Amino acid sequence: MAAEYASAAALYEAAKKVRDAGFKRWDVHSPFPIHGMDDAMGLGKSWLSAPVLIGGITGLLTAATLTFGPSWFIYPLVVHGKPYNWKTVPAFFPIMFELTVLFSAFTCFFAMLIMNGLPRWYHPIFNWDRFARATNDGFFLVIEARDPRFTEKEARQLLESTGGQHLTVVHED
Amino acid sequence: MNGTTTVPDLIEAEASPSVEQRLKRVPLVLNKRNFNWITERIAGVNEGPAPRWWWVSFAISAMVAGIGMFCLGYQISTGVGTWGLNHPVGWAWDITNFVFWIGIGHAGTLISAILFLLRQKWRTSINRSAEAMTLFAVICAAIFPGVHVGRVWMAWFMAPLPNNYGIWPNFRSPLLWDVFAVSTYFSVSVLFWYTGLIPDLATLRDRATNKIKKLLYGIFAVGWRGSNRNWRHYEMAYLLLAGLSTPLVLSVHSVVSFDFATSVIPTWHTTIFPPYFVAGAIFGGFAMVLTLLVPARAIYKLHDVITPQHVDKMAKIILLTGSIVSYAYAMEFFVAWYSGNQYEKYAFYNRILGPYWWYWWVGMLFCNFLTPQLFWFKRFRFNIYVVYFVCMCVNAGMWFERFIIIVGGLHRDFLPSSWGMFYPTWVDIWTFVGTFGIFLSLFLLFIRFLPMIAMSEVKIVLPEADPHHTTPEGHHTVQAGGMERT
Amino acid sequence: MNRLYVVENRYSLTGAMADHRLRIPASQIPAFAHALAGKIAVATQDAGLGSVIATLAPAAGSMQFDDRWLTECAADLMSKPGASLVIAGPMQPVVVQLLAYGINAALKNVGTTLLIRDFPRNPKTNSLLQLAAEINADRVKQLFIFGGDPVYNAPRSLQEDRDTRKTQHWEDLQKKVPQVVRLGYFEDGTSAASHWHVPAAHYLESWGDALTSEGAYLTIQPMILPLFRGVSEIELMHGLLGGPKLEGPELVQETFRMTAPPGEFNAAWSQLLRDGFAGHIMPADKPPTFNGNAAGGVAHTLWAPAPMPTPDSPEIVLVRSYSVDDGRYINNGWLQELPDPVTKLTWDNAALMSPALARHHKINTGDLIEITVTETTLDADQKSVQRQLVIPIMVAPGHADCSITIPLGYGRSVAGGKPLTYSGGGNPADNSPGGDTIGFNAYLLRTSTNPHFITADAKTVTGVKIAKMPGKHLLATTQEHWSIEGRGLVREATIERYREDNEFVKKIAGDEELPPKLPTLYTHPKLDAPQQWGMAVDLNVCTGCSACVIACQAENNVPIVGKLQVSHGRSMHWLRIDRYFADAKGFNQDRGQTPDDPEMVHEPMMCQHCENAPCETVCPVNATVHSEDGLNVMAYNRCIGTRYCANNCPFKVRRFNFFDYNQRPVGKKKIVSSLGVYQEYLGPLTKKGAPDTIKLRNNPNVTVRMRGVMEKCTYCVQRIEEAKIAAKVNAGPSDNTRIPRDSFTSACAQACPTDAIVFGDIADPESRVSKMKAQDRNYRLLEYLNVKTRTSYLARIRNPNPKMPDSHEIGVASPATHEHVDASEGKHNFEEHDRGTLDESQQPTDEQNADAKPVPKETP
Repeated sequence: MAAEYASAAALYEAAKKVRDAGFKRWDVHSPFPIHGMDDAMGLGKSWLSAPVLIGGITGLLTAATLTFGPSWFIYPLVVHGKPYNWKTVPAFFPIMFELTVLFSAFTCFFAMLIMNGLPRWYHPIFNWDRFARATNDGFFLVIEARDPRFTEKEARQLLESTGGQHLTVVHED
Repeated sequence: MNGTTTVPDLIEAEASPSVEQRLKRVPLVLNKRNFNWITERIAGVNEGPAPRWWWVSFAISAMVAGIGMFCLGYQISTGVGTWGLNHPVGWAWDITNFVFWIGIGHAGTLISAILFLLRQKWRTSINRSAEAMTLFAVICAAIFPGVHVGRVWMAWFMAPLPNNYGIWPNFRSPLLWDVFAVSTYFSVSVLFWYTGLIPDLATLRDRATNKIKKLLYGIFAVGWRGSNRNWRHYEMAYLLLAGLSTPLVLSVHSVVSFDFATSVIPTWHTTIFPPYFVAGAIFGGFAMVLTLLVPARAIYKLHDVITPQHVDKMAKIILLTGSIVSYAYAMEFFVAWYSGNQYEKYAFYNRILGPYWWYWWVGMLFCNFLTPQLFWFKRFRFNIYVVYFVCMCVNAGMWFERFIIIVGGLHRDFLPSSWGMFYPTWVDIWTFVGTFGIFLSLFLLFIRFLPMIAMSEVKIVLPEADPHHTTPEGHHTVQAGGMERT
Repeated sequence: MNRLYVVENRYSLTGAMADHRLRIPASQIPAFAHALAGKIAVATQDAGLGSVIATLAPAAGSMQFDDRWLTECAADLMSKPGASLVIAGPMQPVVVQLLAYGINAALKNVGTTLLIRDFPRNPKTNSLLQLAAEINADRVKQLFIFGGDPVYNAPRSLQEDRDTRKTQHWEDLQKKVPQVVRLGYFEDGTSAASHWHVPAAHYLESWGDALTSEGAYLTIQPMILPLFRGVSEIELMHGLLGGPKLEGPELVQETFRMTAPPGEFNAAWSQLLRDGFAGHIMPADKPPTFNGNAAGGVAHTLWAPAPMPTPDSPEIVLVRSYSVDDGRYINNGWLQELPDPVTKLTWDNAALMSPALARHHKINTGDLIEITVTETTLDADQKSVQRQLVIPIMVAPGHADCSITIPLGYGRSVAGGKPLTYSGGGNPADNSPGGDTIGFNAYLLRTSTNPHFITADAKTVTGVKIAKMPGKHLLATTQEHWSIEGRGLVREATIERYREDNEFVKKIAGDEELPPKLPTLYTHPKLDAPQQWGMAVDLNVCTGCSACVIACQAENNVPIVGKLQVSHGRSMHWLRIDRYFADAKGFNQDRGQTPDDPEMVHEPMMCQHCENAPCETVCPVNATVHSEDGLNVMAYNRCIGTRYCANNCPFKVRRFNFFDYNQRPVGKKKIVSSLGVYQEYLGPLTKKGAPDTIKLRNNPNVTVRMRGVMEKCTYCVQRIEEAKIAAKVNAGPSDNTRIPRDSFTSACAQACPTDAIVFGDIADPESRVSKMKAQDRNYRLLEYLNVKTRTSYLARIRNPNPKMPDSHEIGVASPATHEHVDASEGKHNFEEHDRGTLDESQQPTDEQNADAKPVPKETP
């Protein structure tokens, strides 16, 4: 069940009501992230940061191995009289830093896609022609039928009471 | 149009402000535009047919790029001697161009990442173009380390790939740090830029009229549908990438400066270089951003989105970074004198009075120090012609600065017997001009096919994006369906 | 220590080594010799010398010399009878040689420092002038020319045609002879005027023998059979004399037999071939005599002192070039590219003049001038004969005023327009006014009456004029900047300062603040091979002759790059000789100030093989790393050519292959007649592959580098490895694979005639190089960078005569030391400062300072 709203403010209020009504499988769609909408939907902080941290640490360890390995173990060469032992580590800081950032960034990007379930080129909501406004200037709220509290009547009532317009039932084919 | 806020109004408003006026923030999008207007105006650039001027410019820049490619091919097939390099000047235009282009790229990342972390909302109308500019600048920059080597077909030795000598690259070498830094910078910038593009590509997909466009935009939009659950992770990713890019941009140009700072040559061997170069990069980069956007906004009539306020703020950043750079220049001279080291003292004496003296007086003193000082005056910051003149001066000045550092340091170092002069050849010059051709061609393609302003981000800064916003009197109301009523 | 006084018109290498140098025009040297002889005659009361100079009167208008200079110089010479030597240059007239001999006799040098030897001369030798007269008289029917190039370098205006009275140069004369056969290396101008050209075998491909000027008898033995089937001189001459066909060795044996070798002939012959000289032919010293009266008579007849040349009518001095000699080596690319030791000029000659003369004529280096010499002889049209030459000038500090020196040997061309190719495989001809020639032919000014100096003496020459011509000529030098800029790079001192303070070399500005051991943040990896290589260069004996440069080029397959690339600063010499001028007053070369009478110092610069080499750390691909025996090694196949190592080298000794010098031709190629394009810029369109002669020439032990690769001095690593292999082979089963001490050396050290460069094992305290490094004159360049160079230098000591007027201007190449290192005040104890102990309690008292003795140097 999908509804369109006139403004970001309206959508925000509606979201709060839907959250308070206890729905779990529902979503709002907007052309830009609305400030405070996460709280309005009862969602917590995004834990994207965790995989990124792991990625960064992996990057750091990779760099350390890559740089230390050859200069200490595999193929030590006398270069500019620089020492073989740990005291040569300042020379490797730039690479360690860069690889940390590189691995973190890639982890961030791919984790974001994965956590968002993207790429997902097909989604039933695209079947609704009004939905094209979601990326322009439209604000939508969708409650999925899979939600245990979902009944069509109740959903319709709730959405209308919050000011939703053009209520539509979107089917999955 | 009524309600248009003009420049004199703004000046007047701040010249004799009342308390209310002083507290009222100048709107970031003028003329009270709404979401749809933004979409229409910005996406409209991509959806319409390419105007004739675009074809003409593209043809010219592609031709220039072609000449540049020819020069590169000539140099690679015949030898580095086709450039003007010699003993002692082993690097001149090649590395000057490399540092020049990388520096320009940094402004884009600053706008995208650092200004984001500092919650500067005005960045939203310029960040997409600036990041694109970063990518193209890094592409142009990355050409040079690849081709300036004597044996380009063996440049892969720099990567830790298995080879038949069993030898590893030298991780202590600043050039290798460059390899890692620039490739990281490029990758992260692509990721960051692309992440920002996803919602806008979705917009274009949804508005696409023909099937091919819909397919292509659709593929790259990865099925984005504006879901807030997605926005949640997206925002976190954006924040993290911004947080990663900030130290990255500081580190990349520091690593580039290490090419010089870690050597022993008199003007090069100095710890001032990392902050000097980073400030200089931002300085030059902002100048290039303005160089590109000022004509673009004029041609596409985007004055309401890239407002005079935006130009004003960018001018202030130019003034700030220019002052940092000028301070660094002064410090270099002071430290050279204070050190008492005869080689260092001579090197700086040579900088202002030696054979390349005019590079310093024109490039560094006039272009980099004097012209941005015009931006102390509001009158000049809001005069688009003055702004453009200063930006062109800064672009040139930054190139001269790198040249003075590189060639000025090399051509006269410790042993006077090895002192020599460097003169560029036509291959040097046309290779550099060719990179401008590449840069402009890519930028023109970007304008043509991708939204040059981040629509979703600009929409956030409109007052009605705020859920606590109430519609004031006289504002255009958004009707259901969102069509603008004039 | 010796003391050298030199009187010359231009800076020669001898003048560079001099303690006192007087620059006067060469035509005034007879007057100088006369003046000096006068002083010495008066002081020694020598009768012989007195009778010589009694007959000579100084010329009107000749140069006046600084009386104090002469007096003190003479006094110095006389202070050591029998231990001095006065030598006149070979171009000076007979009178000067007589005067010099007389002075030596008066100083009692003859028999002690000056030995007389009998030099057998063939009485049948005639001069070219006599031959010219014979040809002009049509008495010569057949002419055989062996070697040489008389069309090019014979004096001008040899004869006059009897009928037309037109001047005949050698070329015209040669064309008169009905049959001319020429034996020569290549077809040059002389061959073009001959009827037959027989290709000559190179002297290294020929048999022969020779007599040295000392009288020893040598063999000439070929290294290789003739590559191009040339004919050697003795073979051709033997054929001409109609003898039965004999091979080279047999011909030499014939002559050898005539010297009556003792013992069995074949044994003596084998001994001769093995030794290279005949032991039984001893040069005999003649007892010294000096017949002053006879000498006086000859001197009186020949005495022709010239008036002092003026700035508007200077003298012209023609000298043999340091590299191509009289023109015989014009086809030798190595010698063409060898920078002239004094001017650092390559591929060209130029008219050298003093800064004052250049200022007077308002000309500068590279400007073209036209020299016009007007003689007293009249030509067929009753006009004065004029000789002209257009040549670029070069400002030469230290050159005498009113004098111009022009090196001979250049401008040699081939009739028919084909320029001589050089052994680099390309075509180096330049757009000089003379067409396809290298340099400028000074033989055009040379006559038999004035073969060496041309000055307006009113007897043979009425005037010498200089006129500025439009246009400039590109002169390719390898060193542009010759001011040492107050840097402690070449360190020198007078012997007094050295005696005062043995450690002066450590107190040159820049190094005096250094602690004895420079601090380090970490321990460097040990270089633990049992033998560590190092090098010491003694600047006191280095003359700047540049033999080491050529030796290095020969040993290491260093390519030549041609004039244009040298002018762009891309010469490839791994070892270069830096030549600096130094003046007590100081001068700013950038502002166009050139010193008129400076000192000249030389410093050979090659890779210093720094232990903490800045070049190693910046190579991204580890192409240059450090070996355990202390060499900074260069892996050509790994090098990708980023040139960062060359940028980071503080000594700028690394050389980059900007083009494919070894495989592709270098030099000008004429495309569309006048549009000259240099072949190296056409890279892929040119023919790839070195000519066979180049491949034969290359040293097979050394890699030939391709384009885009960095190269530099390797301490002749191929010789080190060869020695290591030989030592291992010799060791057999035992463990002792040490290379015997001083058993091999690098190419530059091997070639150095004065042993200035010494290479060896610095881990062995008894090796020559260790002993040199232990000397107190030893210093390293740029010590404060802490690069720990393995090559060190021994400072130069000059020995000026304190009584001479210019003694305070000698020994000034090093920058002045700072006030606080003034030892004579006795307030600061150096040794303590040098050891870094600045603690108050440890400073010695005034009492202790008063008799402070130099503390023995600690071994680091």
